Amino acid sequence: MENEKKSRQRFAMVIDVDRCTGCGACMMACAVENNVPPARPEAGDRTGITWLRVYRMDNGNTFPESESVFLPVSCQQCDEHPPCVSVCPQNAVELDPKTGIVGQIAERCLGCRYCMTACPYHARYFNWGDPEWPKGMEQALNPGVAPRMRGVVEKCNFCHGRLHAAEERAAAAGKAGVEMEAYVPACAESCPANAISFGDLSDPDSSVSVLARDADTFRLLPRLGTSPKVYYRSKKRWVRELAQKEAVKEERKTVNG
Amino acid sequence: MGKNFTRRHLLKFVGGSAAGLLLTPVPWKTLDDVAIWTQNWSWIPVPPKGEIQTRFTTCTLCPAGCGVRARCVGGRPVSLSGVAGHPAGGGSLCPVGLGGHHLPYHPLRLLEPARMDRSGGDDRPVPVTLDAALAAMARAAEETRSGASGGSVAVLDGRPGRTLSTIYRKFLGGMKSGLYLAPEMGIGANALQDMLLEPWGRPGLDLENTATLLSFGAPILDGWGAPGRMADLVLGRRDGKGRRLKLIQVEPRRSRTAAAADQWVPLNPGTEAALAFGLAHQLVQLRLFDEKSVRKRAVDFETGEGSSYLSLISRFTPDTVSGITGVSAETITGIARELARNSPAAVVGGGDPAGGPLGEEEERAIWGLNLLLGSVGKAGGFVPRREAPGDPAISGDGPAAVSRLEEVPDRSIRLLILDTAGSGGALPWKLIDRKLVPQNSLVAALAPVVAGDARRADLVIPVPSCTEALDEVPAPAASPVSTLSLAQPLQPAPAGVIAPAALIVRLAAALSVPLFSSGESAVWADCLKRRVEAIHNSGRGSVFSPQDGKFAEMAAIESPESLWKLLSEGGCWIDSREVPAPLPHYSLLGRKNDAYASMASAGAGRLAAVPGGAQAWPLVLMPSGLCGALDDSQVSPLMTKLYQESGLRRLLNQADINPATARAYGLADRGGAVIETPSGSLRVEVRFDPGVMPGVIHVAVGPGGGGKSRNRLRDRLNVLTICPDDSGRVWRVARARVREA
Amino acid sequence: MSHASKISFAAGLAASLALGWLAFPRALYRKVDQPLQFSHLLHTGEKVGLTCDACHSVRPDGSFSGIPKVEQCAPCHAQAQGSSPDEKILVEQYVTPNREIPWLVYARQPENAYFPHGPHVNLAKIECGRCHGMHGSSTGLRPFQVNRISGYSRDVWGENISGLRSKPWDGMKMSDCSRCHAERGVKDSCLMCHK
Repeated sequence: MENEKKSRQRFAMVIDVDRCTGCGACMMACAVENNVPPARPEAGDRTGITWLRVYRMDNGNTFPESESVFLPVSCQQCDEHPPCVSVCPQNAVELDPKTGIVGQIAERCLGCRYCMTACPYHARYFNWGDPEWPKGMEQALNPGVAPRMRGVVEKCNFCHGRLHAAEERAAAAGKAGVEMEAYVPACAESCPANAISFGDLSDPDSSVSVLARDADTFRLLPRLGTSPKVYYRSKKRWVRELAQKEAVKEERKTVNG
Repeated sequence: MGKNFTRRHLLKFVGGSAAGLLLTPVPWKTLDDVAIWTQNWSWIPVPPKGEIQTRFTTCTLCPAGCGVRARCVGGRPVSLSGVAGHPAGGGSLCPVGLGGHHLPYHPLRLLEPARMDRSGGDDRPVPVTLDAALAAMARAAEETRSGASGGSVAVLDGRPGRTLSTIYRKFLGGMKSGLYLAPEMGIGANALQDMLLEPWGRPGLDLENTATLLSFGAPILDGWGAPGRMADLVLGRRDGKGRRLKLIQVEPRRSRTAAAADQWVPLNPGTEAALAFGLAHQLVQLRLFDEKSVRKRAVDFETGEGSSYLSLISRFTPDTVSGITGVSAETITGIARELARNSPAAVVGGGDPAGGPLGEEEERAIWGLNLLLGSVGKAGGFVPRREAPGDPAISGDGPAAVSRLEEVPDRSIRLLILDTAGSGGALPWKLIDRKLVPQNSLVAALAPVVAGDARRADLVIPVPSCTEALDEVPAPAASPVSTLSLAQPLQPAPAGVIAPAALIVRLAAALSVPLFSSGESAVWADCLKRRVEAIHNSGRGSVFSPQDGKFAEMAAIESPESLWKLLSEGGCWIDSREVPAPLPHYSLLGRKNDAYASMASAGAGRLAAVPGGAQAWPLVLMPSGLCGALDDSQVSPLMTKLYQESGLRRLLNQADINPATARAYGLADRGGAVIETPSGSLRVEVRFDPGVMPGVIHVAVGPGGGGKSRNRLRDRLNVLTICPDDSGRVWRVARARVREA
Repeated sequence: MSHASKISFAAGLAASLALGWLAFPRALYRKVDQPLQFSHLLHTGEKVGLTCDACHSVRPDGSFSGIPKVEQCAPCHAQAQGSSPDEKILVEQYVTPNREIPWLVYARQPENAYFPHGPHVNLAKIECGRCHGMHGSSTGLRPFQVNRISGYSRDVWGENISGLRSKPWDGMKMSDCSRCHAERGVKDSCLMCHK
C-alpha cells in the first residue's frame, strides 16, 4: 500500500495571488534553472521564451479605483487530457502517470507548433533560432537540464532537473521516491513573498492538497475541462471572477504584460 | 564478358547493389547516425559537468546585502538562491541578484583598461595599458596639487561605509583638495542630523518591531530593502511567526508596493511635504502627539513667534492640504489617528530609485512627524545605530569628510573617480558634469562593464565582477544595527582586471600619499582582515552561519582568524543592540538659516513655477526604475525575461501613462511619443497603465534592450537628462508636455 | 533474365553486401588511442585491491563521481611506482603539472540523455559489469572507436554493426535501457531518462 501510494504522485502548485508582488524573481529563477537563453535581438513578448510569465491583471476601473494583481502563469500541467498531448503528431509531450507531470521532450519535437495553438494558457514557447548566450556564459549553465536547439517547443516541466536531483539524493541514501523538501521548483524556492507552494496532491495532508480544497482557490479557464494542476488563490472576488473568464475581448482590456 | 557487358548489365549491377545495400546496415545505420548528428550541433552549448558544491557569499549588487547560497559546478556558480534566516536577506534574492553569477559574462564586459572614444557618434572603448591609465590619473591629480589652476580630486562612492570607502577617504585626505562624495541613501539620516542640536548617531529603523509604517513613496516591497525580509514584514510570514506591520503607502502611482499595502494614498506628485505638514497639523490639533517629549526637546515647536514649527503647520489645515495634495481631509485625519493608535509607528520617505532624493525639506517634515509620534529613540521606531568598528565614520586621522555633490562648486573637479558599485539609484549625469572643469577634466570609472555611468567616463578601469571579488558588505542605510558580511570570489577574476583598492594603492603611491600606517599591509584581503579583527576585539554581537542557520555569540568565537573564517564562509556579523541614547534637543524646522521659508515653500509643492506654468506644461514627468537595474551594467542578460520578453517591467525610455490622459493627447498604446520639458525632449514608447495618476507620465530608467542602437550614446540617453537641475537637489518631478511622435 | 544479367545482379548484390557488412563498419569508425594506458586489473587485483567504487562512486548528494580526476591518482602516483612508460606519462604530463587527463569516455551519451547511477547501483543493485562489461579486469584500455558521423563511441550502438547484442553490456542505446526496464517492470516516462 505504501509503495502504491508512492508510485503514483500528482505534483501540483498553488499560487497565492494576493501575495505575489510582481517582482519577477520567479521568472529569473526559472530561466536560470532551465537554461533558457536570453532574448534574441528581435524578440518581443510574443516571441520570447518565458516558461513562467507574470501577467498583470487590472480590475478595469479607472484611477484611483483601479486595482491590479499579478498572475504568474506557467504550464498549467493539465490532468487527464492535456490539449497539447492530444495534438502532438510526434508524441513529443506526454502526461506521466507516475508523477502527473506533462513532460515536453525536445528530442521528439519537430516544431510544428500545433501544441502552441492547442494550449489555452499560451504557456508554450518556440525556439525561433538557435539559443545564443554571451561568450563564456555557457560555463554558468545548469548541468541538470539540457539546452534545446532551434525549431523545438519548450515549456515548464515542474523543474524535472530538480526532480532528478531529488531522486538521486534519495537513492544515495538507499530510498526510492523523493523527499518533498528536496524537490522544490526554482520558482517556488525563489519567491520572496513565498507565494508559490508546491507539493503532491496524492497526499491529502500536503499543503497543496489543503489549499486546493479551499474556497478561495480557483483554476484558470476551468470550463475547458483541462483540470490543471496549477491552482491560484485570492481573497479578492474580482480576481477570482476575472481569472476564470474565457472571453478574449475582456482579457485584452485588463490583462497586460 | 566483353561485348556482352552492356548498359543493361550495368543497370542490373546497380540494381543488385541497391537491393544489396538495403540488406546491409549502411542506410539504416547512417540514418540513425545522421539523426544523432543533427540533434547534437556543436554550437549548442553543453553545460559544464563536475562536482556540485554549495558555497555561501553575499550579494553586492545593491546595499541590502542579501545572503547568497551558490550552487557551483566544477568551481563556477550555476545558480544562486537566498539563505533562510539570514539577518539581512530574509531568505530570498531579487530578480537582479538571481542573475549575479552571469555578470562576469556580460556582453559589455571590459577586460582591460580603456579610453572612451566618442568621435564619430559612437562610444568605443579603445584599450590602453593600466600604466598609461594610472599615469593619466596621476597627472590630473598632480595638477590639482601643484598646478596654478587648482581644482580638486573627487571620488564618487555609491556605497559608503566600506573599508574601501576608508581607503578612498584616506587617499583624498592626502590630496590638497580631495572631495569624498557619497550620495544620501536610505532614510534621510543627513536631514535628521540637520535637526538635532547634538550628535546622536546614525538612525536605523527597527522594522521588526514596527506596527505601522507610513511610506512616502519608498518602494518598500520592490527594491527598498531585502525582498524576503520586506515581504515577511508587510505580507506576514507564511508560517505565521513574527509580526506583520501595517503599511500605508503614499505615492501618486499604484505601484507594486502600493497595490500590496494595507492602504494606498494617491497624492499629487511633489506634494509630500504638504501631506506631512497636514498630518502633523492633525496630530497636534487632536493632541495625538508625544506632547511632553516634544515640548521638552524641540527648541522651535512653539515659540510665540511667526517662525515656529507650530506656526508653520497651523497653515496646513486638512482642507488646505487636501487642495494641494488631492488627498481628502478625512483620509488625512484617518491616517493621523491610525499612526497614533497603532504604535510604534514610523514614517519613511524615499521615492523611486530613479528619481533621486525626496528632498531635504520633505525629509525634515517626515522626521518632524516621527518626532511628534515619539518614534525616534524607541523600539519599533528609529534607533541610533552603533557604528561597526573600523567604520570610516570613526576611524583614523586624515580621511576626507563626506561632502555632498550639490555643494561642490561648479567647474571645480579635475579628476573624478567613479566607483560604480552603485547605491541602486541613478544620478543625472548633468549634475556631475557641471562640477567638472570644462575641457580639462578626467573622469575615471571603476567598473566591470562598459555601461551605465561608465560609458560617460573618459577612462574605464576594469574591476572584478561581483562573483569574482572579495568584497565587504556593511549594513544597509536603514538597518537598526551594524552588520558586516563578506562577498567571496566564487570564480577566478580574469587576468586584466584590478581590484579598486589595489588601483587606489598604486595611484596613491604614484602621488606619494601614504594610505596605511607603517607596517600595515596594503593587500586588500589584509585591509579587510584588520576590520574583522577590530570587530572581534570589540567582543560585540553574534555571527550568523548560513550552513546551519544559527547564531554564535562573539564570546564563543575564539580569535579574529575564526571570525574571518566564519565570514569567509558566508557568515554575517550582527551587532548587539544597546539601549538607545536619549534624544538630544532638536529643531523641528532644521538648523539652516532659511529653514522656515524653505519648508513653507516645499509645502506648496515641488513643481516649481516654470514659464508658462501648467498651461504650457500640463503633465508631470517622474522617472521610474527598479533598484539595481537602472542601466545595462548590473543586469544579467537573462533579465530580458522581465523586460522585452514579457513587458513585466519597463525598458529604458518606455513610459507609463494613464489611458485617459494618453488618449487626450492622441497617444496609442505601444506607440511613440515625444516628451518635452524646459530642459529638453526625449522620444519614448508609450504604455497604458490605469494605475498611473492622470496627468502624470512615468518614464523608465532601466536596461536598454539591445537592438541596433545599443552603441550610440544618444540612443541610450535616459530621461534624467531632461529632468530639472536648477538646485541639483530634487529631480523626481518635472513639468512636461507630450505629443505623438 | 539472361545469365549474364543474373550474374551482374548477383555481382552487384555481393559487392554491396560486402561493402555494407565488411567495409562500412571499418570505415565508419575511427580508432583513437586513450591518452595513456591504464590497467584496471592491476588496481583491482591483489596488489592494490581497489573496488569499483573506490574511484567511481555515488556521492552523498546523489551525483556520480564519473571518471576520477587526476587528484585521485596523485596520492599514489606523485612519483612513478613502477617502470611502465604509461605511468611515466601519467606522472610527468598529468600529475606533476596537475593537468586533467583527457580520457575518452566509452559510455558518453548525448547531453539530453539522463542516466543517474544512484538508483541503478544503490536501489536496483545492478553490477557495474552488467552495463560496462568486464572493465574491472581489463589490463589495458582498448582504443576508442569514434563514429565519424555521430561522434559517439562504438560501444553505444554495439560492437556488431547489425545492432544485434551478443552480451548484456553490448550497446547503450535507448532501446537497451528500455528493454532492461521492461524486463524488470520499471514504468518509464520520457522525462525519467531525458533532461
